[in-house]
Amino acid sequence: MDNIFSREEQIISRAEALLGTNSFQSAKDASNYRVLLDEYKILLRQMMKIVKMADKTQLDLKIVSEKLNRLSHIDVLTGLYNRRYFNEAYVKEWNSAVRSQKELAIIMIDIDYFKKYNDTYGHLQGDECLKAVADVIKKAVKRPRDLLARFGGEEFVVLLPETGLEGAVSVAQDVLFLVNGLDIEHAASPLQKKVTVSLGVAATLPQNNLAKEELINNSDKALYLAKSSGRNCYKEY
Amino acid sequence: MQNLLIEKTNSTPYINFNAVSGVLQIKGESFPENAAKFYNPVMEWLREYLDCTSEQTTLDFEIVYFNSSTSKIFMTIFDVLDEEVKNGKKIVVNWRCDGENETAIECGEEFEEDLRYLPFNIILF
Repeated sequence: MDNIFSREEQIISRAEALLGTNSFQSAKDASNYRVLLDEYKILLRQMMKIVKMADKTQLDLKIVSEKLNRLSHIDVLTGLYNRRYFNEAYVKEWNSAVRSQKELAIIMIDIDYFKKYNDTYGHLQGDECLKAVADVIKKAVKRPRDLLARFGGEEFVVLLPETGLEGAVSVAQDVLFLVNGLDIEHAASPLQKKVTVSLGVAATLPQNNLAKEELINNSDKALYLAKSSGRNCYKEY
Repeated sequence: MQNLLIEKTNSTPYINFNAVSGVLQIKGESFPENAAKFYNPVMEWLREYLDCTSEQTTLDFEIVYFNSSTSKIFMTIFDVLDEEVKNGKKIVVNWRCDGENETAIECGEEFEEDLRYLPFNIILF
């Protein structure tokens, strides 16, 4: 079928054929039939147009809806996923890990002395710093299922499915190394006068009877440990 | 003859038909749950107006979004107007749309295609 209205067109062909066979009892009948057929043709043409316009409008709506969906998941500044998307993805990965009985790991990353950075260089440069740090973390997070999101102001989170503590620590080390390599000047930081990050690493084997938040809380505690042990380092919990 | 004024709602357009100036305006979005019911008074007003006017009439359509039932109503309106112009009435339709709204432009072209007598201008802004 090359046309969704092929049946309607068949009907028109049959009607035309009928008019050609002179099978009407009178010329008047034939002429009435012709008038009705012409009306039908006009209405069919209208219907085709309506469907065409509706298809076009629906496609537009679909594109807009996809765009909005994307925007609602993305952090505008860094282009990373936002907190909302992370929360949704986290629940899915947690449930999936409960079923598959594979470990799940989280790295919480926080830029050291970021408030001081903003105070010293202004918020616009603060934004540039956030973008630069986001970009290098992206490089350290390599597997397709790994998820990097902006968790809050200067805080990022990495979700690593099917990953134990050891694997997560390796990613954390990469992040630490790459951020140090950025060499962004931070005059107000006591740490070598450059921008650094602290990281909290946690992993667990998700179980039905465990609270989902536990893993996030643990990575937070690990981050706190890293902060209180001098920053520019990672800690495990 | 009284003018027809209908305020816009979430799903229906602003309608301002002025019998004195001959400017009939439809503006906004149109996806009424029951298009026949909503447009019935509009069609009635239009028929009555066309019966008693011989002045220049301008229909201004500025519709951002409309559903299929609405497009059917519009076609019916355009058919009526086409017939009136054929019989000597002076009527013009302006289909106004955003120059970046390709769909609105293409829909205007679809409407225009089937008209034989009614001047139908697609006006971009």
